[in-house]
Amino acid sequence: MLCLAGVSLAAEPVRIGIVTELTGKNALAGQQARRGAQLAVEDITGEGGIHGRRFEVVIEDSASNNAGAVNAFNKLAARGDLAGLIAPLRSTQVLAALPRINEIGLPTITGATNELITRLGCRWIFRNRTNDGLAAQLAVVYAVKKLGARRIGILHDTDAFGTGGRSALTNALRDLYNIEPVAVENYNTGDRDYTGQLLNLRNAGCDLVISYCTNEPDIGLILRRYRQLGMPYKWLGSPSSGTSISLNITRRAADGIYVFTDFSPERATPRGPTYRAEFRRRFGMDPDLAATQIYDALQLFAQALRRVAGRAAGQSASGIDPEALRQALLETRHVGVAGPFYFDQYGNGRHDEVIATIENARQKPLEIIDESAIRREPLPAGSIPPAPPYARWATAGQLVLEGIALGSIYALVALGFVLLYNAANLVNFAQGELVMVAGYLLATLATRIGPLPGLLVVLAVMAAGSVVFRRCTYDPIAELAARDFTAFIVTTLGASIFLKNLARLIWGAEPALVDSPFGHGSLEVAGIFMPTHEAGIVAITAAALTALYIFFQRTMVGVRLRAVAQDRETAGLMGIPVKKMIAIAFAGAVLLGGLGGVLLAPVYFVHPEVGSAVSLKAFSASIVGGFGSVPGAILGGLLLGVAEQLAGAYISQAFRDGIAFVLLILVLIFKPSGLFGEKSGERA
Amino acid sequence: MNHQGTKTPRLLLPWCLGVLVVILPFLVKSPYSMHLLVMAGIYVIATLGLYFVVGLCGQFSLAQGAFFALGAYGLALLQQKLHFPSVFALLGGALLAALFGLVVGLPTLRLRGHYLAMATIGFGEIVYLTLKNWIWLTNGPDGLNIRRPFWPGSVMAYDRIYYFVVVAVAVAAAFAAIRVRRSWWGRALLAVRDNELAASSLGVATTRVKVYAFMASAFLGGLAGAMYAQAETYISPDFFNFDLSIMLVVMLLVGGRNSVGGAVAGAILLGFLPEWLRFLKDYYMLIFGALVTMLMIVMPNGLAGLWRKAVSSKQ
Repeated sequence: MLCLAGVSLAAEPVRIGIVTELTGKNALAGQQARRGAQLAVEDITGEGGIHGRRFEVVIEDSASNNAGAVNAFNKLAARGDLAGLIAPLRSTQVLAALPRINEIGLPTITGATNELITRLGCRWIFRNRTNDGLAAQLAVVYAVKKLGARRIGILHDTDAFGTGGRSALTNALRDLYNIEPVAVENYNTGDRDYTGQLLNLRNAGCDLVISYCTNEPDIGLILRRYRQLGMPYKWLGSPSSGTSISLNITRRAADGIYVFTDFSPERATPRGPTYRAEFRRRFGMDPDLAATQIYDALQLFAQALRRVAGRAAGQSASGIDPEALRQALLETRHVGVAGPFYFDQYGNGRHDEVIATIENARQKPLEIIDESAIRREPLPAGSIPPAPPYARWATAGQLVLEGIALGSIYALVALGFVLLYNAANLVNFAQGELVMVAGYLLATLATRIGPLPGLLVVLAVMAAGSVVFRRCTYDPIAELAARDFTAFIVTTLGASIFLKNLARLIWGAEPALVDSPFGHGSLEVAGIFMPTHEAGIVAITAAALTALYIFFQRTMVGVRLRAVAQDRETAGLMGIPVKKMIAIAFAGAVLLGGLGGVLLAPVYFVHPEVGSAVSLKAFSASIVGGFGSVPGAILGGLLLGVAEQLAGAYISQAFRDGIAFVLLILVLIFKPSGLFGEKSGERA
Repeated sequence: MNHQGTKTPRLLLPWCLGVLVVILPFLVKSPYSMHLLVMAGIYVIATLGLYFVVGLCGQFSLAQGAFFALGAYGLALLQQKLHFPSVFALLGGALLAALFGLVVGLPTLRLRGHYLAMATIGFGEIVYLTLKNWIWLTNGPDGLNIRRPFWPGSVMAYDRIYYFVVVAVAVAAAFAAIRVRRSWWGRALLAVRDNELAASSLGVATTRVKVYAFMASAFLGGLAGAMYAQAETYISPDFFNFDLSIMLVVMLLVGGRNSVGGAVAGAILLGFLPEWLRFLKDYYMLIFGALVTMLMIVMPNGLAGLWRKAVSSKQ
């Protein structure tokens, strides 16, 4: 009996459960993680598995959010055949799942760097990356000692990673050098515009800015803008500022900045070259942090497992005693692809950082610093130089210009809303996704046939697509929609979910980049920088609005459309083909959304969620201006664009999106007809 | 109603469902499925809340996710900062949400249709940003861990007991919704829904009955949120985003907005759908979106509409 059990046990593979982000906003990281896991499994199998037992992984999806991560752990817990777990890269997800991880009681390796994770008393959690507290100390040491920075500013994401990084940096500055950051600025994940923050950092007289940014698209755009605005301070960025994705966004704009990271793609480690070559051969791209973190974590598990696999396993169904595996991990010394690993009593496994610079859009490692460089050396009082003066009006002017460019796009999208609302009393909740689709189409076409012909083709495709859109969301419910306004809201909500996920499937989660036909430089006039593309946005919007004005005032179709908007029934009685007019309004709305999309794409790049934010703002803008009113939509758009910029820079960046809605609710309460519109609050 | 023949099956069905609801937690094997059952019950409560505003009153609210969040954070903060016992914290969370329902409802319910929808989106966005950025109060994006009100020794046992708490509340909420619909207030709400002008000319204080509906909706949304916090034992802002509000509205519409049974069925169906369709993997949300659009086209009155059609065609 015993012998039989032994045999069947030997045939049973050793399994590690992985929770990663297969779907949702970080699906790209999850895809890379899956690839890293695949290579690790093959390599470990090639080395003979775990004493003859096969090595396998089971992957569960966290859907890129906390509840999803908790669910995924529950699922893995229910299996009962796992030897160990790998938790997601995102700190907030790991913090959410920590009570579950504690209950499951299996050794769990995570790549999340928030310091708290290993300090909350969960004895099962291990971290195979440098934690934020240590990373921030090392970054501060480099900034002060090697780069000679004294007036240090901080820019951070408001998410768990960014806020954790901000406190770690502030603490490190205080503890090591007895100085405070001269400015702290923040943004919400996915904000599309960072001018206010960058200017505030300059105005505070920073000589160096340390950034803690979670997502590559954000830091990519931040660095691009940092160059376009000609900011005078140096930059030392968290790992995301030097990854291939963000360098692909910034192109050469990131050249010359510094990056502190525990993962440098070029770091020379014994396993590194073969791993990278194999990864490139298999997947046609360089391995990133997400892939390498999982690869190293699985290798760590394999090392520890080989030491305990022979021993008695107690009650465990996996044949591995969790307590013994935990002990073995604590004793493991391993040089992985990313660097050397050894675990301290808290489960922290990495203790060094690579400082790199960016050269020709590639990371170039400068040096490796570890704990031994950390020393308390308070700077004498008065060692911080005074801030250089700056021109206040230039900052305000810059912000207004920025606001007008962004507001132009709101205005175009808002006009799309107004057109449909006037023609058929419809509000299209998928308008933002039309913006997004147009952006993607341009991204696809611009590289093949050039930006300008691409733009024209996209508009033609959008016009044709409007027919499909109408047939799917409006025609089947036309009668119902006349009685019940929610019907069209629901069909377009469905369409919006559909289009977002279609885009994710076709174009992937990686933000698509588009080159502007106007270039990515900037014009400087009297201390104000106007990026050339944004000048282009304003020009094209002005041209489009003029064309629209002529269309409405001087053409028969335009006049008929206005008649339908004023009174649909009477217009019908007068012999105007109302159905046809509605079809034209659909085409117009889709085209305006499309135009907004192609103008938006080169500044803010394209990703599946890009449209939702813009369309909510545009809709608010049209209500603020006076819903149903064409001048109201334009003025409302411009007003909102400028208000957002000013409120963001002078009041609060984190609440900037909220400020737009506060404005909206105030207008709705006190002047429901809008600032520039006729009384229409009763129309619904 | 008076047909003798149809009375038996009509009584039989609720009994069968009742028995199923009671034995279900003993049939499921994994803690995971158990947790899903709890979540489905919580969605039922939140969707029933929405029924007051959208179903009875005909107003389109996209703020239910925000009320859900207020209930969850209300419970957490009452427990952690003011050391309320669990039961009072639960009620406190729901009442906090109802209070916000009053504060938001008073000015915005004068608006109609798209305007109200937009104002509720704005409110939800502000709540979300506040939860995320007021770190001194809410611990920001890192979220809060919630104490369990009792601990029977394992997650499975906890969820199983908590399931019955959720079901009891959901059943009470459903009965309350049915009672309200048959009351003067319910008839006033329906009158407002069908023709606000006519209702007000008949002496209905339209804004007041709407505000009450909004508060009831917020109360149930908050209660559901507070129970979510106790079931999940962890909350963070990112769960309470715009998608949650959309999901709750879609649950109600798929079930059938004019029926209490529909609200319940929609919440249960969509609560489980992601799990049943998990084999679709990357395609799930794509198909979900297409389904939402198609459901509106094929069955504008939701599951309840289909059911009514099926019953009436039998007779």
